Amino acid sequence: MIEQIREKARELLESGELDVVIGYAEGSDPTRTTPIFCRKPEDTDKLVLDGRCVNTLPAYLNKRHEYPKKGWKKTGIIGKGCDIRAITQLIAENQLKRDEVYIFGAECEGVVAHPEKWDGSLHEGNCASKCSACDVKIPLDTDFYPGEKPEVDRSGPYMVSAPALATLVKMDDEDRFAFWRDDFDRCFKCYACREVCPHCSCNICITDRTMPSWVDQAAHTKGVFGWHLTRAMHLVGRCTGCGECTRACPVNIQVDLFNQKMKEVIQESFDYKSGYSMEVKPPLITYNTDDQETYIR
Amino acid sequence: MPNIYQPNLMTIKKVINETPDTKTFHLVFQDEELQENFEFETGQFGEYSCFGAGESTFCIASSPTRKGHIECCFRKTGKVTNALFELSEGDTIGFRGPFGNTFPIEEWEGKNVIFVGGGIALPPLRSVIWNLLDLRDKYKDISIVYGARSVADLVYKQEIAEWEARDDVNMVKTVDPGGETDDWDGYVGFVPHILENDFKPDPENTVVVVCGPPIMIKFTFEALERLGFKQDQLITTLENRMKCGLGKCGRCNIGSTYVCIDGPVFKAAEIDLLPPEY
Amino acid sequence: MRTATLQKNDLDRVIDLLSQADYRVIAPQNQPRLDGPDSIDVAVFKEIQSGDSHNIGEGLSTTGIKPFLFPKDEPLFAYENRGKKVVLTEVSLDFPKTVILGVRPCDVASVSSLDAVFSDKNAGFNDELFTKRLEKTTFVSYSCTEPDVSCFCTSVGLAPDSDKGSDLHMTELPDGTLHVEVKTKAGEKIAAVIDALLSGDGDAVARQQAGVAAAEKITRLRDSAPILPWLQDLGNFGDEMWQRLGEKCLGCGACTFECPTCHCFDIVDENSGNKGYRVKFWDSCQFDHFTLHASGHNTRNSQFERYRNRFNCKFKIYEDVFGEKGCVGCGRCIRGCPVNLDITEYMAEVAHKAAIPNAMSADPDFE
Ligand code: SF4
Ligand code: SF4
Ligand code: SF4
Ligand code: SF4
Ligand code: SF4
Ligand code: SF4
Ligand code: FES
Repeated sequence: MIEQIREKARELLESGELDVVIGYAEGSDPTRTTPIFCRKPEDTDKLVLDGRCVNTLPAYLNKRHEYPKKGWKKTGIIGKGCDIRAITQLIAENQLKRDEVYIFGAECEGVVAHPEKWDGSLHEGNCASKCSACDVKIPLDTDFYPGEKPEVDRSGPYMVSAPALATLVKMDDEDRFAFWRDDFDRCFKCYACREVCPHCSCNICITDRTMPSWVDQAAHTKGVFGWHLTRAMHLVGRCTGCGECTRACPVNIQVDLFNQKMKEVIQESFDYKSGYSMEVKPPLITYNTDDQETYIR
Repeated sequence: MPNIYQPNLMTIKKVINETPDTKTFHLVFQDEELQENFEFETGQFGEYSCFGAGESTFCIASSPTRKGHIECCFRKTGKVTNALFELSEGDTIGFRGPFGNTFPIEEWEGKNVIFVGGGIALPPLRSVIWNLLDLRDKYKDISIVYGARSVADLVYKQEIAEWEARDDVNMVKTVDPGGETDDWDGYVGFVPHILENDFKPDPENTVVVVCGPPIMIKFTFEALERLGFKQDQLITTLENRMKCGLGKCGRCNIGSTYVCIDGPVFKAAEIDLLPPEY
Repeated sequence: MRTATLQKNDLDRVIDLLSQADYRVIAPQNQPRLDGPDSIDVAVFKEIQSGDSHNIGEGLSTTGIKPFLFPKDEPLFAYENRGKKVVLTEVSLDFPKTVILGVRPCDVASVSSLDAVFSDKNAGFNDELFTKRLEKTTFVSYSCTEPDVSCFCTSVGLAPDSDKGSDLHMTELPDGTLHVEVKTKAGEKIAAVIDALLSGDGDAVARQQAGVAAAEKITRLRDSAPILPWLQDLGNFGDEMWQRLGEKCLGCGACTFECPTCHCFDIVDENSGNKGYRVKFWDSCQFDHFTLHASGHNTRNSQFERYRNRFNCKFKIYEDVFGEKGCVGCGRCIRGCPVNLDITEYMAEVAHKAAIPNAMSADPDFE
């Protein structure tokens, strides 16, 4: 599989059709892979694709991460199904044009929840929970797919995958608040959860704005709650459920649980799943005259 | 004793509107003993607070030879400067300082001194200009080359007129092409260009002090080097983003050089040893 | 100074005795986590009471002891605007007598890096919020016996059993006992409090061997000697490696906030009505707005330049300004980086470049 992708990537870099191919290479220790930007054809020899490839590479397509500055006209990118869902969403939100990217896809077997859990293979004990409810193991939209791509029915509703969410929902309000207060005590606002997210695309995040300040910048209880509420709300209907925010958090705060909950709400209220269409816009960033709420008119 | 981050309180004695977005404050410490004993040297800076908005860094724009009050001059660009801009006479601000190194004015005794400034960068020069003028007989020719985007952007108009009127100061003023008005009596052109092609100073026994945006400093140094100036005759100030002024917050460094501790005054030769991060 | 033996299962008693002696006791503690595969173990230093669980001696905590000397946020003073007048109220500099237990060698060594910045050794300015806390804090350190794949203390002049900065040092021996070494007067006080639990004079030989055995388990081995001279050569500032290795950096602050020696902060006014606090809180050179001037000019405009600063900060700036390294090799920035940007790869690359004179290739895109 990766051989075919390497070969195609090499060919497209050689012909100049692509300026760069973003993929995964071996990391600095055996449990990890790392993002790589292949610019020379021979760089493609380094590409790998397996259960350790956790990063959502479309974060690099986010214009905030200097993507336009790099002067790439056409970017190749290797995506797991959920990554391609992120690309689809970026296109739906006009953050990216379809013809700016060339998507390499392959069938996915799932990824490890955290590199720390990699023990040489992928199994039930270490596979990310998102993979258990995944309907894009055969990816959606690809420009290159090794072999024949089978048809998949993806018409089902969004399903929450993290078992932890059920645990939290079962708690009463006070306990749940106490849980988050204790967990948030560790948050030092490194913003890894923001930087890894393909959909945190604001040039200046509202938490970094100072005229006026909307959210206290310091990482005390108020500043941290302010950040996480803002983050959760700004991703409603946009989060494509890659789980990277949780995986990236250096102090294990499972922030994607908010996003998963909001995905469920959006599914119920608007019958919308993000990342499945380049045309349908997310409900909260569009305005329709037949929207239920009247106050906004 | 309050901690090093707690400012001293000062009263704004006077506000001067320099340009539509630039003001000068005259400031006096509320603590009489401090007001009596406060000392600084030319080139140093302070952290000025508007309580509720925060702190901002600017140089002390008055000369240490003029006691009674200190002055600062700022343009409204961010949260703090916007808030300071709204303050009026009698209001209280916070001040921490003086911080940083100073212009080596003793080294310049017996020499010609040329001051070159652009836009809002006149304030640091103003301090040292008055310092030298107050010790006028220790120095030979004193020249001031000052330019701004437009006539409206020139600060210290009053003092420019005062310097022009003095026969012991050579005042050269210029505005960028397009920034002139009908009654403008100065040059039209960018500072480095006017310096190289019109003013043409003689490098012999002369030092040049340049203040302005990084790009202006770069072009001015290049022009001066073409006129035969050596690096040790050129002096400037750098203004990296600062917060603490104490070498602790870690944001003003250029390589291993902390602008708040080792600067803001640098010789061209010193700047040449810095990585290009200013 | 005194050496002795302590039984490992007496650590709980140590906590009891120190609490009784009016010490605030800080120790690493595993944090509760939700079920499901997506969560990982996290241990942080916390204030603990007698009977609380702790995980002293079980791996390196996810974050270090920095928050107890330099909290992630703290008020500097309170202000109140009263018409044209302003009233300032100082914050208390009276900090509780504290002992931090189970500090790993890298973490206890990091205190000296922080002290270099915050104490009056740095340009004469004494940040008493830090130094007064430090005066009140005693460090009981604990040798590592199981360094993990990201540890590289031996490459920065430390070791899994070093006691630099420690007041009282413990080393777990193969027989399960702890070899205790008193290092300072503050450590003597701790020894006096736990005297009933100490016996004999320990086993210096076994302690030595434990240190050697632990060091042998470290796999990330880098030669840091060539790094300083290479970095001091200004010509290398524009080397191609900075962009090549650094372009994948996403600019989060994970590496800096987890780092025990990173000290950068911001200051902001937190206002409500006519009063509020001026607050100091952690900031990071990895953030794009860290060096952004009000004019819009940014002195480090690309992410790779920001990581270049971080690497230089650890291995050059600290050496130039304070005469020591700014990195203690704890490996947290490696474990925590979401894109596996690895500081030891920079170390290796520099060592490699330094070994081949004139191999430097200037980056054509570099301005
Ligand atoms: S969610 Fe689906 S596509 Fe994404 S890693 Fe898991 S199995 Fe693969
Ligand atoms: S990644 Fe974790 S620590 Fe960092 S800001 Fe997000 S929740 Fe907080
Ligand atoms: S919010 Fe989290 S899970 Fe959702 S897209 Fe962003 S990083 Fe992925
Ligand atoms: S730079 Fe990395 S390895 Fe070094 S002290 Fe900081 S976190 Fe630890
Ligand atoms: S690495 Fe960056 S954040 Fe850390 S101390 Fe150095 S400049 Fe500050
Ligand atoms: S090196 Fe890693 S942890 Fe540090 S800022 Fe870059 S992406 Fe974040
Ligand atoms: S301004 Fe804080 S270190 Fe220089």
